[in-house]
Amino acid sequence: MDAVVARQVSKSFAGGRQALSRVDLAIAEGAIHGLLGPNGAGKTTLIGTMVGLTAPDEGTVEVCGLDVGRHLHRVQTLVNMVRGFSGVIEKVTARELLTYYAHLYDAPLARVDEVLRLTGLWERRHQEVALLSSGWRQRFFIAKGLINRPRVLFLDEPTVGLDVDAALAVRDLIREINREGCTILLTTHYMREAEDLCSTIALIADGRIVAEGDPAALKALVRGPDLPAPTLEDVFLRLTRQTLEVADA
Amino acid sequence: MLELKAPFRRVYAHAYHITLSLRRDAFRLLDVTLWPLVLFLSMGLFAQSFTRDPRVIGLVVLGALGWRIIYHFQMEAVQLYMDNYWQGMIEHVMIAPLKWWEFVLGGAISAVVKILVIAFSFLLLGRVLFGFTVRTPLATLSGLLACAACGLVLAIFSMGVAFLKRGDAFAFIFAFPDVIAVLSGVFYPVTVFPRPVQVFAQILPTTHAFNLLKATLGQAPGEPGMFLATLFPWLVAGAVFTQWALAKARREGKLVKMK
Repeated sequence: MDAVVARQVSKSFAGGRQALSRVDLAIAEGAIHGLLGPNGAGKTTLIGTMVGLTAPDEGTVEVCGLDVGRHLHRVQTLVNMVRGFSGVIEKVTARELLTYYAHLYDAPLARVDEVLRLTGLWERRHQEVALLSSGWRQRFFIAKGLINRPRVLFLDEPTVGLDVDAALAVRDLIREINREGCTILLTTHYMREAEDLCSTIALIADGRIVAEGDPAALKALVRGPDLPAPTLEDVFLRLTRQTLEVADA
Repeated sequence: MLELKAPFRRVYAHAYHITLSLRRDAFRLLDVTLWPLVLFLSMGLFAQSFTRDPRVIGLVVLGALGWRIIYHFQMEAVQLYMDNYWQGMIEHVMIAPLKWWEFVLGGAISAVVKILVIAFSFLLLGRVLFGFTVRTPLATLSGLLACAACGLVLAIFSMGVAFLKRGDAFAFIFAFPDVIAVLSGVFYPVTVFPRPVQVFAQILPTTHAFNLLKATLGQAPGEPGMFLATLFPWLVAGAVFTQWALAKARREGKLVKMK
């Protein structure tokens, strides 16, 4: 069964900018699915339609078999999101803020301590989130993302701006979360990260899915005499550039 | 408390969040100390310098209290949304399974706590400095509850404006309760206004809420029927507007600022 299905999803914003154009995407339950694309390709907008922050102009999105437009409230109990660009409210400790989210999601308060331990934040639970280093702060947001035991977790550039150690720790955490059965949609600009974590990957450019498959299948798309051993970065550059050139033309 | 059903827990969550901010931020404490007292003392001492008429002092004490009640019931609901918006966390709140009215009710819990502090200080200082006493407690309480209901209606409208305008909404939200209070004759009869403004004032539930307070001093007819007749259309209009605003913001991708 697919955990997330987008069918013919289109979205444009004020000024006529087409952010998504007839996007079809299916994410298998239990997968870590990568969504890669250049800045402005439509990744965040697509996630927005999946978590109910943005309504598509056309098309439908289903999460765990529920239409997001029609069952938004129910869908929102089943998903959560972590972003790499979040600000943070000041003068509130990690435990206090997680307690707030536990109430919002009607999660047992014992879950707060569980996610604090799972993310390694237990020793820092009484520290202000705003004063944590970026790596620890990102762990906090992952803890927040797990507070409702989501069936689907959306990770929007979760390792952006982190140092090597912190990024490795976050990746380990992502694997652990996935092992526990959570389906993950991951956007990232780091090709190594995508290849390392994702079982399937979709490339998006100019609001369209331009290729989809496991990393090996994607590489096969661009393999040729000029590129006998392509990397995921080669795939990304070639396919997204082709799309953008066509769009420009 | 921890076994509360999901909507009640979400309402409680908002009140909890506001309390955290209040506890940690000295500036927020001024909301229940310095700012209300500045209004109360300046108006009270001004009135007392002209007259010791208990009706005038009563208008100042009850008017100032009613005004603060409207302000807090309106502001608390929106404050939480705006705090999260400014600090870049609003998407984490808006992807949670919450309803807009849970913001409003969560704000109301926090407003009740703040108003208890303010009412205590106003009534105590009113008695000590100006010799004010509440003569008809039930009627006065009814008037104060009417002000709270008006504050909730303003909160509903303000949530809608916040959904539509986000960061730009704050000037409106801050000005809204004060302008409405002035137009509703907080310390004076609305007959002081030009005729068109008087007509507008009559369709505001706040005018009739203040009248219920003034009636306890024999300064206006207390008409609960008029109050309810004006409150419900505003309540329904506010709910429809805010539901529409939320859907519009979601449709236009303006509900939160993603990057």
